Amino acid sequence: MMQVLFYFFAAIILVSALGVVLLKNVVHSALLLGLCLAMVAGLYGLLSADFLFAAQVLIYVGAIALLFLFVVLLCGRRAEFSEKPLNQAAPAGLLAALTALALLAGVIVQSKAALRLIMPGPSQAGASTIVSIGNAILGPFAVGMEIVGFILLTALVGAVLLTKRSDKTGDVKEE
Amino acid sequence: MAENVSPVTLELYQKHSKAKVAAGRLWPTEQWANPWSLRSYRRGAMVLAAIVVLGFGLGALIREIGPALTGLHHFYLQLVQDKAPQVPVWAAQALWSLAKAVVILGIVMLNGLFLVWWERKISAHIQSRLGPMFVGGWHGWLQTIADAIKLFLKEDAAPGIRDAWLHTLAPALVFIPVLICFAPVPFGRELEAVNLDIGVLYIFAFTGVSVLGVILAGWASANKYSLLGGLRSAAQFVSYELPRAFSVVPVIALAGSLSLTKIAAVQEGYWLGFFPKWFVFYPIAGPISFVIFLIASVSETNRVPFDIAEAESELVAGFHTEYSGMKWAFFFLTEYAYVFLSCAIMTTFFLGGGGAPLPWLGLVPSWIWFFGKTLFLVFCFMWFRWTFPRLRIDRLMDFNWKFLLPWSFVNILFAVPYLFL
Repeated sequence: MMQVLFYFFAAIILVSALGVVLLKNVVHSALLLGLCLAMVAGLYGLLSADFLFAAQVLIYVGAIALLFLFVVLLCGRRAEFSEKPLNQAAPAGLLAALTALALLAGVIVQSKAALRLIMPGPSQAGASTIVSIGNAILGPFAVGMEIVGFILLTALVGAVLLTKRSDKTGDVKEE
Repeated sequence: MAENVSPVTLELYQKHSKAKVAAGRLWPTEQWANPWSLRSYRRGAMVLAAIVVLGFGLGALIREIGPALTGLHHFYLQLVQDKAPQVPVWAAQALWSLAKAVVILGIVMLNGLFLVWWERKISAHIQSRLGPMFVGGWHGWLQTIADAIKLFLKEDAAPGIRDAWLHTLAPALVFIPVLICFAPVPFGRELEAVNLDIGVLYIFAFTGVSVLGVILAGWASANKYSLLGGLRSAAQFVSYELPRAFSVVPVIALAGSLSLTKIAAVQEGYWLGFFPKWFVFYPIAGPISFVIFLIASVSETNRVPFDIAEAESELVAGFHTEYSGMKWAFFFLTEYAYVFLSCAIMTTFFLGGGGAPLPWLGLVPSWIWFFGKTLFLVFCFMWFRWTFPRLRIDRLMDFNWKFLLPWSFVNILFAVPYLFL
């Protein structure tokens, strides 16, 4: 049962990921990106990582795919159809993709033993991961979390500052 | 009084109403209307009270249905094991889950049918009209069913240059997440489809997927008004999601769990033996959370005064301008389902779920209390809709980012003392 579901999700992930790259219509690509990310959430669900499942749907499908669509729609109908999906940077892109693939494959092969150790077995299926994740974030990794939060906040404030119009004196002015 | 009123009416008016008008006992909007209105308002109030009392009495007779269903589940599993041992357990469970899903689908559909009628009646009475009165006899109670049949038979008219696939996909993408969202909602004691440990997060996550459908509907219609509606909807949703989520943080912290069943269970019991321990009654933090969540929920469900995604006076009908027939109906069904969902989780978070407001009222079962509180909140949603004017989009954003969001942060601080009690 788990195997069947895994291959089902994996097939949709691969097909939709290819669709994101190959389709000419940008809106269709953005939508397929949402589908791909939702199916990754399905994989998390299969691994009984319930918090990751919900966070993936909440952040990647509900926010990131949404913002992609938002930006694409803001660009209007002219941006939807480019002549061809490949341009002269294709070889470089292929090289980058292959490098990333090799890197990931190496990590996966090396961590196979480690994965077996930390993977939740069938006995743990159904138990929530959210308590242990919360304890980890506010326990051993608290400092790291705070730093990440601070960096994100800085980026947020920076983005707001950049998008505000300023007059010649350099003072930030409200629209 | 107008001149064409018959002398009999005038006489009755003077006999029954003049003294009362002088004594200030008539309803203000009714002082110059027909003389029987106050009497019929009184009768209406009595009929409403009778319906409520009858519902509660019937509930008290039926008692709790959650434990009975749990028993039925065990009996069903045992039956399958005894009579057909070759059927695997997961298949039997899957069938049971399917039955639950069908029940939830039924709730969502009936909810749509009822709320459309109710909204028309409430809007009518707020505007001194009658609303639907003919279909079905009593106060037009069959009106929505007649409307639904009409919608099924309607031609699916859509613009030729639309993106046909996405135009068809969008209503489904809007509707399916709301069904998924109902899974962890506890409709009473032991009446949730599944007790999820991440219930709150799960509902917030899948609510967001619906907005993808709204944007797609706006884009696939190939209509600038639709597109504007879709864009507005996305911006509004992403903004109001934040205070909505942060206003629940105190509740989650106090309950120590993300499971809706657990959150409802924590609020059982009474202070001093009579005052319910609902989160809305926790001084300062409780009411602020509740109000922020209520405002953000009205906005998330795209209802007046926050319905800038539809905005009839600006955008024709916003994202569903180019929809007709059942495709259009799905958008409305989803809106009412989300209204019901928002009210249901508000009941769970802040109003004690299925808990009775007074100890001796525990005679009435939890599911009656749950639906009663939820429908009261739904009534509030409708009341807002027919009371407030629509906000302009920039003020809408200002209100969210400069008022609701900061206060939802501050409110988390207000809730801190309760963690040490």
